[in-house]
Amino acid sequence: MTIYKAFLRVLSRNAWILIMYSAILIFFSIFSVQANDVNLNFEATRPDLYLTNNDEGSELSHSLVKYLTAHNNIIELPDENDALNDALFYRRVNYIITIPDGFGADFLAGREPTLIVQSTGDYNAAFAEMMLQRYLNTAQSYRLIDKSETELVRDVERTLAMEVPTELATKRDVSGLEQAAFYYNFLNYPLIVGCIFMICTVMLSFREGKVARRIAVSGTRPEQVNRVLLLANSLFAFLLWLVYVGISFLVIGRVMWSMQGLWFILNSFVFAFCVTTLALLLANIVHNRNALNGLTNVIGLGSSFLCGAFVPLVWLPETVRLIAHVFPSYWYIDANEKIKALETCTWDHVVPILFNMAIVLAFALVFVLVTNLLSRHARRRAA
Amino acid sequence: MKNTISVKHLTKIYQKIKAVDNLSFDVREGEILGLLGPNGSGKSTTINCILSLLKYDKGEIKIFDQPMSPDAYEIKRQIGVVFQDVAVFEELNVYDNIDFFCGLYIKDKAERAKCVEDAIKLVGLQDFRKFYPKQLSGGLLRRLNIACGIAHKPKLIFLDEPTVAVDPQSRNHILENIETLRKRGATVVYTTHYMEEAEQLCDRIIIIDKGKIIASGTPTELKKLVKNKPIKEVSGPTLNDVFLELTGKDLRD
Repeated sequence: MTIYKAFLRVLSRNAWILIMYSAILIFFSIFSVQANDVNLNFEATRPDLYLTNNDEGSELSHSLVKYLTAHNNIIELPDENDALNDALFYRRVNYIITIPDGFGADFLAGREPTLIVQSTGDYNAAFAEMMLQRYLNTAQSYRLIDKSETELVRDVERTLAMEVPTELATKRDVSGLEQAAFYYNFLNYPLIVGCIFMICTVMLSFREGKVARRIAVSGTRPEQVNRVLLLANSLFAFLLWLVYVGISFLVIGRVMWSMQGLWFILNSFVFAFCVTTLALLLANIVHNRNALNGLTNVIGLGSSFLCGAFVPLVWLPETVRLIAHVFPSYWYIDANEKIKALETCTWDHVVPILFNMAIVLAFALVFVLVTNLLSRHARRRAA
Repeated sequence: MKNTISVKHLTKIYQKIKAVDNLSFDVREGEILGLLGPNGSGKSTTINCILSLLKYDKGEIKIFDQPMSPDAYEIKRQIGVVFQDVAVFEELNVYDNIDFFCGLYIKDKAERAKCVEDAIKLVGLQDFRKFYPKQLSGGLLRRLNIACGIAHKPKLIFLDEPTVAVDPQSRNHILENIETLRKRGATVVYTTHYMEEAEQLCDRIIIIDKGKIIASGTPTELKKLVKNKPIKEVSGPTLNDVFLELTGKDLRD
């Protein structure tokens, strides 16, 4: 208990660094959630439209104007060629429609009258044209079956006013998975920094030459002290991982209860284990607190930048992605991306994710073996 | 009187150099033995060998009549060591530091709490329990260092230059502490460069140079060794004179 108590005291004296990195993680995760929050209540764009109706007597033309007015911003301009061209050039309007005299009558007679249109050619103009075509195509359909202009206009307006409930074809919560992937990718950074800094700080305190000598002459076996420290460090890393998983449930929410959420958790657990072994290895190498600060930042920031924790992997140059393969972070983040795209939990789908996890575990195994070699060497040298 | 430590023919060789050369001596129960010698004379190597921190090439070391080895934890539990360098946790306060090191020997919480309190009182750190090492002066740090080494009430205490770089008041306080430990029945092995300290404190003194014992005895006996030489005509030789006479005046590393 004495060793655990001292371990906790040393840990709590350095807790500020954990709090800082956790705050960064939470801040960016909430920011990401806000940024990726897909609102399914779409609101249509309203293009800026100039409209001239020279067919005042037609019900159809009147209805078309009403429809376009309802879905576009109608801009008032002088009815002069130069003014209209200037407005288009300076994007004060996206689309100009002129309804010629006799348009309604010609349309009903099936003579295919021509509307005069001018466009900026941008997406707003395309949207305005789409609305115009929508009205005309609907009217064309009813023209073939309706007897009078009044009936046609009534049917067109009723049809265009119809709303239907829409459901997304996929069951995957794409937005939620994006947020979860962002969170778990970003987790690479605080997990590495937290584990390496805290575990190495504790081990430095206990292995500091004079303190270690005092422990060596005491009535407690050094192996026992090391065993307790190993257990305490592992417990710390596990709790840190647990806290971060807990935060993901709070910040991201429902998607964490899905099948993909469980895979994210499993993948991060494997990675946390690997990071713990790396931290224990570094604790055998680093003997200086200043060097520890530098090393923590180099490994934490370096692997996060190179392996896509901050910027998606696909945005990184090919060479960088190639170099990133030597870091466990790459395989962890790559697995997160695969989990994000996971549709069903079939063997074929999960094999690539399990393969990445196996590589992360292989890294952990290498770290454990090197740590053992170094410890043996240090013991032989001390003897 | 029983021997607490028995060292016989101890030899330690570092890369063909004999750091300790066939050293034999005993430390009797309840005495304060001063281990003196110039820098590099082999004092620390001898102590490290006794504590099993170093492997030695030849010889035999017994503590409490038991052979001493790295795995002799029953013996180690009865030993307290105060190293020359302050060896404490920067992240733990005074109480927690003493509690931690005491906890390496005493598992029972209540017993340990009493020992820690006694150690704090002994070294006079009652008002500094919650202070962290960085907040303590040099003298207070030395006292904390001592408390960490002796809190578990060991029967045998090694004190390696515990008064280095402290003011006279703190030094006096530390020396009084050592006297108190002896009165409680502890055997003390004390190394120092301050001859007046050794003279004031030690029952017996061993002077080591180049890994060999060059003189041993009580302070009075040692002074007699140079009595007939014209070193101090008025008041007689001091232990410092004896030391310089025996080890020479050449500078050491």
